[in-house]
Amino acid sequence: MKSLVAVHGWAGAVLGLLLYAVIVTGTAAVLQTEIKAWSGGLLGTADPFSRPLNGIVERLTADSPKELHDDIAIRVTPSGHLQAYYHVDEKVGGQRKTRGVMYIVSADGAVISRKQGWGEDIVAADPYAALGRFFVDLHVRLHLPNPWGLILTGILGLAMLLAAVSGILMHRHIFKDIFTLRGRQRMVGLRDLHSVAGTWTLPHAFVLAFTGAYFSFVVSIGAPLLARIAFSGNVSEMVRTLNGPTLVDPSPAAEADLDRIFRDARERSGAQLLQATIENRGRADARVSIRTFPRDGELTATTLIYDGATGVFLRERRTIGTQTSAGGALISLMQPLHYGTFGGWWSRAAWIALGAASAYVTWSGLALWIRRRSEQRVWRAIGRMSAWVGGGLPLAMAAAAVAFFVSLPALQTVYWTRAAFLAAAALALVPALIVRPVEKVPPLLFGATGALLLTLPVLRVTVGGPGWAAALASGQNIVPVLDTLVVVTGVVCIVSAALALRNQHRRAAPGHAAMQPAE
Amino acid sequence: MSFANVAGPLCAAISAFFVVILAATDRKRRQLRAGASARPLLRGLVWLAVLAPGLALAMLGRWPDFLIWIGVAAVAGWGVAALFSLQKRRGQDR
Repeated sequence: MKSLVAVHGWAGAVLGLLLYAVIVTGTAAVLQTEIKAWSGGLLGTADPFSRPLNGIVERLTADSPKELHDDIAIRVTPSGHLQAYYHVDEKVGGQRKTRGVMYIVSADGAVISRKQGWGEDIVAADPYAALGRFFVDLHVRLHLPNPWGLILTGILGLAMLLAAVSGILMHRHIFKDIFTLRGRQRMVGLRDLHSVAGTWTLPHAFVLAFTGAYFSFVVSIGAPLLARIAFSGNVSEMVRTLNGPTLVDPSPAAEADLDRIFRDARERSGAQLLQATIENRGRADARVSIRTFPRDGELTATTLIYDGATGVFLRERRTIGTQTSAGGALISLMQPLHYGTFGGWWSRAAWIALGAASAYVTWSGLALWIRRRSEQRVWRAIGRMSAWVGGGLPLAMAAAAVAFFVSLPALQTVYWTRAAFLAAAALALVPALIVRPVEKVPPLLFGATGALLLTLPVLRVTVGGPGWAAALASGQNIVPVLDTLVVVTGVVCIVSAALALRNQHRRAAPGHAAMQPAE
Repeated sequence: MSFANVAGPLCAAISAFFVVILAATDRKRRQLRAGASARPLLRGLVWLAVLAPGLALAMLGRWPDFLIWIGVAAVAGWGVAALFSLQKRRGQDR
């Protein structure tokens, strides 16, 4: 039992703050598409693939360099526009990269933007999606360079799994105690707060930890290792084996009617289209891959493959492998289970609530561990760091959002979003270092976070963002929903901060019993 | 994107109702003496009632709704536990 407590406690103590950061930013990242649409201020349509696109594709082709005509990726943007990326694949320093021209096209076919260069640089420089992308990058790799950021978040996922398993094993009556909360007056009461929250969110914790570690490790270690061990480093051979052989026939051929393909894909899948990839245009081996949103009542998306020369439907492509398999089915579940975007607003709401609960479990566990060792100076210092991160991270994220809107008219959001995050984090360090007792720090920082959140809807509209009427008229309910969510979250932060400070003041009053030691 | 599909949250609300019954009659929470009857069979049936909506969704193959049910029911359960604890402490303060 002591070993289990040590494993559980030290895993949390060593990695707890980083895990808390990944969980909090991951909770925000559930709404990454919605945040990009809400903050960017651009209004598209509900289904951009539903309008005729042949003419638009021809027009953009004529406007692009000839070397980029062979491969096109068309996808729906968070704001409901279409992004068309004409590109070539190149190997740079041993890494595969794409280079090309990226267009954003509005509902009436007008080109909103045209950018040329390396694909990842174009995406990284998009000022309208900077806020959502910042939160995602912070969650996926803590803004550390690849592959180290991914490896670190993968380790954090494993640590979360370890903590969940050891937590179950060390708490003998974990399910009997599921309603037992004995109040904050005693150390055992603080333990109850941690274990009750942890017990109720156990299934989610397991799923998120496992899928998160999978995503981090498969990209940074798994795929490169598999290529090296099983295919002597030949990535192309690995892809061919996993996805099936592809026809190679460079002889010239006519191009299929894309609108007919898109119509067929919509009917065949029974869902909206998300993305279309056109390869080897104008050749006999041309292929059009259509990825759709999940069908109503299903978890996973569909990928349909068409002959790009004749428009004939060829097959449905599996996530991995050429035949249905248990492993392929499991891999295809990773994304919906981790992202929580499979069921409209309800699944997002559930995943956000569970993410907040997991963040509470992580932080309360760390606070409990530190409180038990508060006689030692080093743990008191760690306690201040914990208060700084616990309250400072949400504050810094809110400050990043404020800076995004302020800098949006000048399209300097990529720089100012990050700068404001770092500045707010540094500013939060001041109360973390000087306020006494340290228990006052998190509520003070949460209160400040709430105040910043309340300014966001006003800022959004002030810098030219659409009003609710305009958003709803274009079929976008994201704007009013997120405005409401931000305001409600801000109010909750302020009210909970005020209550926490009031309770702390009462407990500190003369005659109030001091905290009892753990039993 | 819509709130139209309410099967998951509706099933979670049904489960939450039975979680309230479990919380209200929880022996340990109420600090009853060890000899006091906890009617384990009855509690077992109530736990079954908590899980039944989710099991029904799974048997119908409605996996998105099943996952929503797990998530919403879990958060609701945590909320019920916290509310009962708050109510008990307020009762003791009076």
